[in-house]
Order: sequence, then structure tokens, then C-alpha cells
Amino acid sequence: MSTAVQFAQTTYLNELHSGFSVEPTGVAPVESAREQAALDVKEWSFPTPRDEDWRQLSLKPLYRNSFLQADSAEISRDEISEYFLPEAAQSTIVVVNGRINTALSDTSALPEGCFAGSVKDAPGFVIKALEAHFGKVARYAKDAFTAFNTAVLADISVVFTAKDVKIEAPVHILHITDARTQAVATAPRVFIYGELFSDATVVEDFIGVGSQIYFNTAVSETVLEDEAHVNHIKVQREQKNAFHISRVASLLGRGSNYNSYTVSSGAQLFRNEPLSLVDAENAHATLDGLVMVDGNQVSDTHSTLDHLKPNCTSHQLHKVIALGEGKSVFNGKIFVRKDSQQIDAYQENRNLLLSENADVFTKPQLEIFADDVKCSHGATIGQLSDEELFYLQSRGLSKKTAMQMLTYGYALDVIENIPVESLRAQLTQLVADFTGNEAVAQV
Amino acid sequence: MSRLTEAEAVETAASRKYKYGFTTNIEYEEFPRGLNEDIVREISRRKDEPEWLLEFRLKAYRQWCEMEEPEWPNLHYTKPDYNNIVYYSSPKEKPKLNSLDEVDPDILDTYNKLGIPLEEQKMLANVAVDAVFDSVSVATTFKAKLAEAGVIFCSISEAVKEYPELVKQYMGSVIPANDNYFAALNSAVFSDGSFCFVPKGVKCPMELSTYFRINNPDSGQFERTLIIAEEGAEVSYLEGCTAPMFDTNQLHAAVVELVALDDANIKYSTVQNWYPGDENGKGGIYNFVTKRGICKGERSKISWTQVETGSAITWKYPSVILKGDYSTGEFYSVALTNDFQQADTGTKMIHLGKNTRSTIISKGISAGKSQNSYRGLVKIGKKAHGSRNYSVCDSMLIGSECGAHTFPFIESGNSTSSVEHEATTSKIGEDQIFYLQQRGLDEEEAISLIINGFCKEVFKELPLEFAVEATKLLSIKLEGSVG
Repeated sequence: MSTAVQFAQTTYLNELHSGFSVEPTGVAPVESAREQAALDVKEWSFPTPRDEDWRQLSLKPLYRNSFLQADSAEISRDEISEYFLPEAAQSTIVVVNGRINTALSDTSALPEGCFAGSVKDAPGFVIKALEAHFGKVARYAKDAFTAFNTAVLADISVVFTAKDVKIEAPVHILHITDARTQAVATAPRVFIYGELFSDATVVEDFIGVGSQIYFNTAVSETVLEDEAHVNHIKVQREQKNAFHISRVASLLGRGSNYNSYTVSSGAQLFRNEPLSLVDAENAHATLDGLVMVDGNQVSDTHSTLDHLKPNCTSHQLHKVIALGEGKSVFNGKIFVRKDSQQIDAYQENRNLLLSENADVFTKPQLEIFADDVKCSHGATIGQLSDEELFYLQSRGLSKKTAMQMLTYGYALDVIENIPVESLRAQLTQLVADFTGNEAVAQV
Repeated sequence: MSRLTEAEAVETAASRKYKYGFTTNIEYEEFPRGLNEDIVREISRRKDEPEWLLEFRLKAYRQWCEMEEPEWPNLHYTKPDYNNIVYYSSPKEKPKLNSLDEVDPDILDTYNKLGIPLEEQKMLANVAVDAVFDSVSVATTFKAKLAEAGVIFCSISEAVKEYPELVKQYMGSVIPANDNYFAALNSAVFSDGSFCFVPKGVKCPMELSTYFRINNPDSGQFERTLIIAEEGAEVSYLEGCTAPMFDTNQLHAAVVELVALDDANIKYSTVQNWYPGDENGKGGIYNFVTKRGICKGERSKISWTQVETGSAITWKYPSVILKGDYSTGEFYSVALTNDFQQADTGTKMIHLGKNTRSTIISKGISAGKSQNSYRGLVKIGKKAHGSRNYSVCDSMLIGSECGAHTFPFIESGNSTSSVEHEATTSKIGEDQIFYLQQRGLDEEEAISLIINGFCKEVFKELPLEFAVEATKLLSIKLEGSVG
């Protein structure tokens, strides 16, 4: 188990931070951001349930624990072979405890002018992009977790797509936390950059090995130049005792297209904050999510879609299945700023509440400051339809099978848009395992 | 009417004056400004209240002192100086009257200017009017007829004297004195209000109504309304508000409590048209209201309908606690803001009993430079098996300088209940206006028709005379604000 220490809630990250030593990356814009972040961690208080955005999420299970700084660990290919994607055989970055493992990584399939790998090996044009944007896309107000990540990060996984280039193979970033020997805290960091007319698909996959608890603050920043296109898939299948706090920020250029899909089934406490800044005309953002909670898992998604410029569209579908004593929180903010006319923003949140002891909290939130817009949101909390169950039963299925089948179908909506076939298959299996769970049919 | 350019439209909207802006000169009993325990005692003494009520007030006052004015609403205003308010005012003479002839002619004249002739209503509309002029009831009509049915309808001060047990039992039972900042303030200094008790099995023979007026430039108005419907009783209550034009911001912190026992049915309708401030956002009423009903008994029903068009600041969340099994809660709302008005309004539906139902229909219209927010909570408790909620909140924006916001909180801990929420934001379509114009309507008429269509679901819940008034009100309020 972890070393049991009593922490004061307000200074938790601060104390954790002071026990960490800094491993410089040698990249100027990163180090200067780190300096500022180290000050911010000290100053910005750790959130409490008194903060409106943290009202439904108690961080008590987190700050009761002490975590050590993770050092580099040895992991063999066999231990993690099931997570590799055949499509990304030559475009995979393996990150162990926040550090890129070059032995397991292979990025040979990348076209000329593109780059995927450690920031330490990054060419000049990547550094230039970092100078302009690093740490500036994750615009979260006084967010101690982002600051903590920036202050302690050991490496950054960079994916850079050059002008007019389409990276055919998906770039797979496999984040592994090694908690075999001790309770560790890691700070994986990702920076995705798409130049003019570029096109890439990036898969971020979070897994853990070992039985100790661990704590991840994952931050990713995506910057799209005009007409760039990025599919960004985040799969969170951490160990069931993990803490995962994540920030997924993106900044969209004119006519760009950003599609984000988040599928989460792991961690005892998962907090995800997607933030899309649609700061140029004719851009489109998708922020889809599928959350599955069971046992005593808590999942909290606070998303922000900020329409700062006119003539843009956005789509958000967030689906939740709550079993056991699971708890799901969703707060989806959509802002349409003044003069951002002709916005078409759509948000849908569906919650399947299948257990007596599960809880669902949802707050779809629209803030509109322009009149010529089309914005709508819908939210439901409910169960499987009686008619559908009856129909399947009348065709000879047992009630249990019928329920599992309907739940499975419900969840696939989000997954079927994911553009990587083998990942889709893996996730379909993940959903099948989850919905094949006895708990589904207990009601 | 010819087609307006946007600039002209804004100008027309800006030059529209508050229709009911005038004051009546009536002598006021002197009362010191500010708030402290002595003031609370003095209010209680002047009203000749029993000891327990004074205790209730003092307790609320002490709790209020500990509390802070809420910052969470999506509203921006200069906080009132609570020590510069006169907490009690009433016309100097407190006449106990049986007929309208005995009422101060000045007061009667005020009502006539407002277009609420008491006599006419008495004769034509079959409405008993408990007219509250500032803080003390001065005229109560139709009392005899109600008494015949066994319905008690009087001012709270009267009820405290005549039916102390009832008041003691129910006052503060739905909204505890320390519920929130403004409810605590009201509990400490409430001046007067209406009390209604409908006994078992009685269907109230007429619609009850109170007209509120704020008349003293410096007096905050702290109304308190308590309505109790016993088993199987039915009552419909109307509340309408207009206020004269003033420069200083006036504070209004009312509390309304509804209690419905088994099979009881309470319908509470409001048309609110207080002074919203001038076109520069100066002046206007601060309207901080706490309204809550409890469906205590099985199969009981509480329905709130509101048309909010006035006030500089509106902070109001008429709520229903669905405690009894099979009880029903409804909330129908139209909130219109123009110029610099700000509204943060909505409802709370707390499902506690089994098979409880609730419906929320909210329509927000923002024009000018106003901000309009819907804030709602639907909560399904662990034991509220088989409960259902359906919510719709639609917003319409007119002009590019206003804002519409929705903050729906939905919480469910029950796997046999379902909640549905939907919200849309839109503008009046040019094609809609064009269609109506080519059918012969002018632009203003077309807009008025579209707005009325947008609000129809809510208006149909209003009693007839209110529905007519509300339709007219929206047209007046939006005159010339669409280009």
C-alpha cells in the first residue's frame, strides 16, 4: 500500500510537488512554462466540494494518499502486447511513467516533415510551435492539476503533422503507469500540432500495470492551423484503483476539424476536462464521450466548447452507463460569445442508470450571447425501454441477454465513429465485457 | 407599420417608457432606517404580534446576520445597502373596512390608473382581491362569500391574530427561516401578505388574487404568503404586480409557501411587471423571491405559472417538493427581459415520493442588452421509484447584445425513474416574419404573433383574465425591439 500520510487538503499538490525532483527536458519554452507552473502549484489551491465545478466530486480518496515520483521502469513488449494496434505498428510511441520508451516505440512510418516522439529529440520547427503554444491552449482557470503536470513532467510526446500531409497510419501513444512496486504519480503530457491542410489521427491509450494505486495527471494540447484535421481518441482503461485527472485542450484554426472521442472504463476516480476553443471561422469540433462506471467508480466529465468566432459548428454526444455503486457527473458547457453568429451547436447527454445504488448528476449548460444561432441540448436519465426488452424476450431471449444486448447497442453509438478499426474492435470488446457483466441484468 | 432598420428599432425600444410610472402621495408613518434587533422588535410591536412570532423573527434575524448574500446567480448588480432601507411602512391610518367606499380615495385612484378597478373586478370578474398597498392590507373583498365556503382568506397579520395555531403550524415549514439569505431577511422583517386556508374537501368558489404595489420610494417590500390546501381541497391563486417609476433601486424579498395535503390541488399564477429601470439600466426593482410548495399528501398537485416581464433583477425559483406518493409538480414560465434587465429564474423539483411526476416548461426571451438565465434542479431521490420528469427550456434572442443562459442541474439516484430535459435557443426567423407579412400582417403584429406562439404552452395555463393581460404585456414590452 501507499505510505499513509496525513495531508491538508488545500496544500496537497503543493506538498506532493515539493517531494518531486525536476528532470529538465532541455527545451526552453517547456522549462520557462515549468518555472511559472511551479509557482502556480504553490499558489493555486486544491479544489474542494465548495467550488461549484467540484461540487459532486470528492477528492478525499485522492488526498488521503501519498504518491512517489515515478522513475523509469522496465517493461517488456510481451506484457503489453494486447494493447498494440496493428495499424500503428510503425507509428507507436510507448510512454512508461511519463517517459518515452524508445525501445518499445517505433515511428518509422511517419512521412517526411512530420514528427512523433520525445520533445527532447524534436526538430526546430516543433520547438517553434511549442514556443507559440505550449501551455497556452490548456486555458483552465487557476487549475492546480495542469500546473502540477507542467511542473513535474519528465517528457512530452509530440505529434507534428506537416503542411498538406496526411499521416495515413494512426499515431498511437500508449501511456503505461508502472505501479508494480510502489504507489506512483506520473504526469504524461502530449502536444499535437497540425499544420495547414494536414490530417492525422492520434490515439492516446492509458493503461496500468501492477496492483499499487497510482495517480495520473494527463494533459494534452492540440493546435490546429487553418484547414487542419485531427481525430483525437482518448481511451482511459486504467487499473480499477487508479486516479486519473485529465485535461484535453484544443485550439482550432479557420476551417479546421477536431474530432475528440473519449472512452473510459477504468480508474476509481476519473476527472476529464475537454476544452475546445473554436477561435476561427468555419471550424468544427466534436467532443464525444462514453463513460462506464461500476463498483465504486466515480467519473466526472466537465467539458467546455467555446465558440469565439462565427460560422462554426459543434457536436457533442456524451453517453453514460452507471452500474453498481458507480457515480457519473457530467457538466457540458457551451459558450457562444458575442458576435459569434451562425453557430450550430448540438449537445446530447444520455445516462443509463441501471443500479439502485448508482448516481447520475448532469448539468448541460448553454451560455449564448449571440442571437442568430442554433443551439440545443438534451439530457436524459433513464432505463432500457420496456417495449424493447419485451420485444427481444418475445423473440426468445432471456431477460438478462436482452438487457445486455440493449446496453451494448446503446454504448456502441460513440465507438462506431472511431476511425481506427482495430481499436474499435478492442473497445467493442471492452463494452461487451462491461455489459456482459452480471450487474447489468440485476435490476 | 413600415419596416424598421435595426438602429431605428433599438431607438424605438429605448424610448419606450414604463407605462405605469407615477406615484401617489399618501402620508407615511415615520419609521427609522436600517436593520437591527430593535427594528425587528419594533416591527413586531407595531403589528401587535404574539411572543412566538417575535421569537421567529429574531431567530431569523440572527441567522441572517451570519449569512452572506449569494454570489452564484448569473446576475450583476450593486448590492443593496441593508442599513439604508426602511423596513416598515404602511398608510398612516389602518382602516378596518368592509366596503370599498371607506378606502382612501387616493389609493383607489392608483388602482384605477393601473387599470385594476376593484369595483369592476368585484362585479364582473368574480375575483376576491386582497389588495396589498405597500405593506398593509387595506381592502378585502368577497370575504363573506369565501367564509360561507369555509375558506379563510385574509392578511397574514390578521391570520396571526385570528388563527394563530394554523400560522404557527405552517409558517416556515416549507421554507425554513434560514433557507437562504433573502428568505431569512424576509422572515425577520416581513410586513404583511396573504394567508389562505382551504379546508378539507372544499373547492374554493372563486379565484383568489392579490395585487401588489410598491409605493414608498424607500421601503423594501417583504411580503409573506402562506397557502394551505387540506385533503381534497382546491384553490387557484393569482398574483399580479406593477409598480411606479423610481430612481433608487427598491428591494423586494418575498416568501411564498404552499402546502398541499392528500389529493389537494394548488395553482399559483403570477404576472410580474414591476419597474425594470430606465433604458440606461438605472433604477428598477430588485426582485429576490423565495417560492416553494410541498406536496405533502398523496396524489396532491402544485402548479406554478409565472410571466416575468418586469424588475431590474429577478432572482426567483418557484419550487415543488414532491413528498407524497403520486404527487405532481408543474412549472410554467415566461421570462422576458429587455434593456438592462437581468433575470435568473427557474425551478426546483425535488422528487421524494414514489411515482411522482413533474413538468417544467420554461420560455425565455431576451432583448436589448438584457441577460436571461434559466436555472433549474430536478432531483430524484433514492426512494422515489417510478418517478418521471419532463423539462423543456427554450430561449429566444432578439438583437445581438443580449444573452440567454441555461443551467439545468439534473440528479438521479434511482434506477426506476426517468428524467428528460431538452433546451433550444433560436431567433425569430425572417422566413416566419415574411410569411406573416405576405398574409397581410405588419411586422410588429407578425412578431407579436410569433412571440405569443412561442409562449403559448405557458399562457394556456394562466387563468383567462391573466392570459389576456400577459399577451398584451409581452407586445408592449417588445414594441419596436425587433428590426
